[in-house]
Parts: sequence; structure tokens; C-alpha cells
Amino acid sequence: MKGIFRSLITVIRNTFKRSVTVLYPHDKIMVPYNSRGSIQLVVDPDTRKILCDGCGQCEKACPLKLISIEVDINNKELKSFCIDISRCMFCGFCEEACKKNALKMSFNYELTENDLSALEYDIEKLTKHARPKLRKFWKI
Amino acid sequence: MILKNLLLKAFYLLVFLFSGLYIIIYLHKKVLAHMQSRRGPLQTGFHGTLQIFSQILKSLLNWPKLFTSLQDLSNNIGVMISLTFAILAFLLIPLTEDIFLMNIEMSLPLCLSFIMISNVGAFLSIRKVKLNSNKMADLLDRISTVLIFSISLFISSMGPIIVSSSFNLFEIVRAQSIFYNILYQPLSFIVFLLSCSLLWQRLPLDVPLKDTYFNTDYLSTQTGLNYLISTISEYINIISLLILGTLLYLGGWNGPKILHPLIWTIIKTFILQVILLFLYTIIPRIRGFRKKINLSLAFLCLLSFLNLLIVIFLVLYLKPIL
Repeated sequence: MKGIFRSLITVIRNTFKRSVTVLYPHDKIMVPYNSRGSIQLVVDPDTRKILCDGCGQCEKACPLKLISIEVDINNKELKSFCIDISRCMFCGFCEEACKKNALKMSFNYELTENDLSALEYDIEKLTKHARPKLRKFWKI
Repeated sequence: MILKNLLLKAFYLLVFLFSGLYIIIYLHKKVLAHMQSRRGPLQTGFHGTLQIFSQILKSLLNWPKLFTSLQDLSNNIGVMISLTFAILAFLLIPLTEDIFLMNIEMSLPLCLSFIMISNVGAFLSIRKVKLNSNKMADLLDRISTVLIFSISLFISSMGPIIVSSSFNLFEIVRAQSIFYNILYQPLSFIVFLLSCSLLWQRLPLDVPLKDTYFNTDYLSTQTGLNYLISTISEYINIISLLILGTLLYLGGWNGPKILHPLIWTIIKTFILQVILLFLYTIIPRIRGFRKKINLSLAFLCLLSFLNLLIVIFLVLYLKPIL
């Protein structure tokens, strides 16, 4: 009988409490602070340039060798930065290896695509977070 | 004039049935979900209010499945039996002094037996039955459990019958114009609800089959229209048993004359349903055939006999004084 009364109290409490489950695409749960999502390149907010200079430390640190970097030797600028997110295990070694703090693990965990080739991220996709949204809206 | 009156009554009953079905299905989906700290239906309509219609449409528009199921009649017979007897049982129940279709002397036992037949009928899908098949065993198991619990159900409903000295539901309600039966027959009320929980297939006696199964057989095997009819007959049974509970123990349409008597029955059935929703979530599931027999024969029958003794004492010694 004691158990039944206890369950009655929990049931009454549950009915007036916010439910545990959420309707996923509309409501989202807060992501924990330590969680690691897809990788992103950090952009300087003042100059609007990518901090990465293509030293290749992250390329070496990656255990699955997913990152491939090309550097323009004459200008010493980043030519291309590619990563295969479909095989990435979000270990965060690349972030640790970067001395300029130009790489960052974001909280983005929604990475589904219809095509596998869409998961091979290039510079454009990796700097998507830094793109001004207003410009995109007005197509300037 | 008589035909017009009859049609009006039938219209009232149909409106009551459909609105009751809608409200009860929504309660079972939404309120039970919130009790288990889920959200329930949210997508279709405001807070999933149109979910029921979408599900009905989905099963109605399942044409290829419907035609294949119409071909083998043996699969349909059980479903049709369950629906017809559920509707028959509902038509025997009066809602107020004026709104009723049939006024038969033996309305209470007839109504209960119809509900039992409709409950067993859902398991009568005899397609591809062999002698040692599971479905036959399920059917026999169901029949035996329903029969065992019918003993306690009928004995518990003898209390109100003795007080009113009639099997008629009108007489039973009229006898409660001063004191409702629940005031001096709480034991029989509890027994009635517990043994009804087998018939409306909810907790604590929701699983009518083997211990290893988690849902009823006919709900997992049937599709399309068959599934729709079997679930609707289940919910009609729930409504008719709820109204029977209010008529037998909560005084039916009796109440202060501020409101219409029909509204009193609606309010009482709604309150009973909400209380029962809490009971579904609280009481743990009773498993095993032997445990069910013990519960029915040793516990529920004993309680109802005790209740009968109290009622007989009251009727013999206190009623003449009052």
C-alpha cells in the first residue's frame, strides 16, 4: 500500500510538471557544455579573415587522417581545408593541436545529409557560422 | 410523432456516443501521457486534438488491406461480433429519465453479458487456426478469464439490485434519489471497478493473454478497418461500463436541479474516468493466470459477499425505520 501511495504522489507531480520528452525538430534540449559537435574554422571578427595559416598540425594530429590542407607557398595563405565529417569521431585532437586556436569544436550535432559527398566539408562550410545572416537575407 | 420522438432519442444517443468516444480517446492519449511525463499527441491540430480523426482516416483509406480482409470472412466475424454487441450494450443504458431507446426489465444483466460477449468476440479471428495454434489457446484463455471475473462482477452488482429490488437500471437509479449507493457500498464499488478493468482492457488486468506478451493479439495482427472497428468497440465498452458505474453507484442523473439531468450523468462519468486514469498508472499489472484466479475468487468475491451481508442487514433492519 505504501508503494501505491508513493506512486500516486509521483503521478500527480508528473501531470503538472513539464514533460521529460521533447518534440525534436521544434523543441531542442540544451547541449551539455563539454559536448563536441562538428568542427569549424575560427574567423577574426574585425578583419573577417580565417585565423588558420595552414601549419598542418591538425592534419598530423587527426588519428583517422581525415583533414587535408593545401597552402599557397608564395603568399603563405590557406588554399583549401577539407575534412570528411562522415568518418569523424569528434575526438577533438585537432582542436588541441592547433596553436593559433583557429579550430574549434562547435555544438552542431545535426549533420544528416541526403548525399555522402555533402559531408566532405570545405572552407565555405567550415566558416558558415561566421557568415553574416543579414547580408544573406538581402542578397547583398 | 412516436417515430419522431424515437429518432430524436437516437440522435441524442449518437451525439453522446461520438462525443464521449472523442473525449475518452483524447483523455487516454493525452492525460495518460502527461502522467507518464510524456507529451502525447502534438502534431495534428492544437495539442493533437485532430489526431484521432487522422488515425481514423488513415485506417479507412487503407483500401488494399481492407479488400484483402473482406475476402476472408472468418477474420471479420469476430470484429463484427465485438462491435454489434458493444453497440447493443450501449443502447440498453439510459442516460436520463427521458433519453433512452429500450426499457427492458433485465437491462443490467443483459448489458453486462453483452459487454462480455463483445470482449470475447474480438479474439474470434479464426484465420488459419490449427488445433495446437496460439490463437485458439488465446481465445480459450480469454473466455475463461472473463467467466471467472464475471462471478465477482455479478455478485458486486447484486448490492444495488437488492436495494432497488429490481434488475432494471431505471429502478436502480430511482432508488438512489436520497442516498447514493457509493455511500454505504464502497466495497462493491471497488470490486466493480477492478473486475471491469478486465473488460475494458486497461491496467491492472490489461493483458488478457500469456505473461510474455505485451499487447493483445488482435491489435497487433489486424490492420485497416478491422483494427479501427476492434479499437472503437473497445472504447464503446469503456463508455458503457463507465455509465453503468455512475448509474449503479453514483446516482446516475440524480442531482440538484440547477443543471439538466443529462449534464449530471456526463459530469459523473467524466469524474469517474479521471479517477480511473489515475488508477491505471498507479496499480501494478497483475500477471499470471493463477494470480488472476486468486484475485477474483479469493479477494473480490469475498469482498462482494461481505458487501452483500451489509446491504441485506441495512435493507432488513434500517429501511423499515427510514
